Amino acid sequence: MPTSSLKPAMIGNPMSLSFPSSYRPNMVMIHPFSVEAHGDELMGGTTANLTSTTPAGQHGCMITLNDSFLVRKVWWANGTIGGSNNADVAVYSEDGATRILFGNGALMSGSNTVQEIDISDVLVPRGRYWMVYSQSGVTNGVLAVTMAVANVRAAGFAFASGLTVPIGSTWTPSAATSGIVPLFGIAGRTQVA
Amino acid sequence: MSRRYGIAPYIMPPTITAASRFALTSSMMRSGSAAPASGTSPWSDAANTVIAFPFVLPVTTPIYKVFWVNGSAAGGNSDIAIYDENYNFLVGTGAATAGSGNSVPQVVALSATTWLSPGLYYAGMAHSATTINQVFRWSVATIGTAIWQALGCWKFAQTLPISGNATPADLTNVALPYFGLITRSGFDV
Repeated sequence: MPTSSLKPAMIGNPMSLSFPSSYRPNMVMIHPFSVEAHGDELMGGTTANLTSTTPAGQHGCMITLNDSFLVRKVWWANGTIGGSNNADVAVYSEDGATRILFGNGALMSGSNTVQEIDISDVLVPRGRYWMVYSQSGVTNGVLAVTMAVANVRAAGFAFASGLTVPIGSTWTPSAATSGIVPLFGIAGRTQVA
Repeated sequence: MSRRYGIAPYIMPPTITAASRFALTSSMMRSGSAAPASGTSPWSDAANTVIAFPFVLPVTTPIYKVFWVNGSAAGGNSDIAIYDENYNFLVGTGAATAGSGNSVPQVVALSATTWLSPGLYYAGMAHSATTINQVFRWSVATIGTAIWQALGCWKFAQTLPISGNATPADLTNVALPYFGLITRSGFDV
């Protein structure tokens, strides 16, 4: 049975490319539906619209940065605010062992609005990372798409149980058991909303 | 810090399915089909047929595993393989794997982790039965199968496990199976 015997290109060595890469700069707002995340796979896997939804735990998507990205803020899109929950967004290394940045949590405020947390600017190098959203409770909703769990998993989403804010110093992805895809992310500009 | 547009190798997303920007794209998948779900089998007209979609890689990319999404009544046997642009068989799982686990992805390792150079390839999946609800799929029943042909998809009669080169024929079934490739090690889907 034939298998490829081709040697891998050395990451960072531009002379190893067979032809110019189709490089595309990062967008200023990165979220699960971005090209930098699972946008194509998610859009191909659902016809649902954003609605206010309570999270099932910690919802994580993988982002691919083809250039370094200066993160100035983290943010999420509030759904219906009915009580006192905190929310947070964090970014981890691909193995989940290192938390690169997080918002340290904030009280959710303002139904159907984007809420942001200003962080000390962090320059995230090119690479693949986990970007995770969590709330401290389920009294409040976050704007989210709900789709078939199988389609969320096929898109590359992951999950961790526990409604924890701030999100922990490490993150261990497991197979998603919820089809909820919240609208949240990181911003490369000072103005978010 | 200088920017290196067009020079630094592209970092690939963790999965590639037919909806990927490197395959048929989500805009095409949404143009005439509902979200992937159980229903009419992509192999309703003939079991033991490879159904394939094209994809491109801008950089050398490792393929660690493959997966398909089981339907609401998982069953039958499946296999996935990768072909080059000339329909030559490159690598597969080497076995027919029984579907297990309703409405969840099922992951299978390739016979060997494979590094694919930049270029055009095809990902193909074969299934042993015509039974409905065994595999998630996109369906274009409302607009017809011409879209699959326009997007470069094809079929080829093949008993499991998949091996040998393909001789492609027009994909005339309304359903495209939901399966894909995994480019990250460790956590899969």
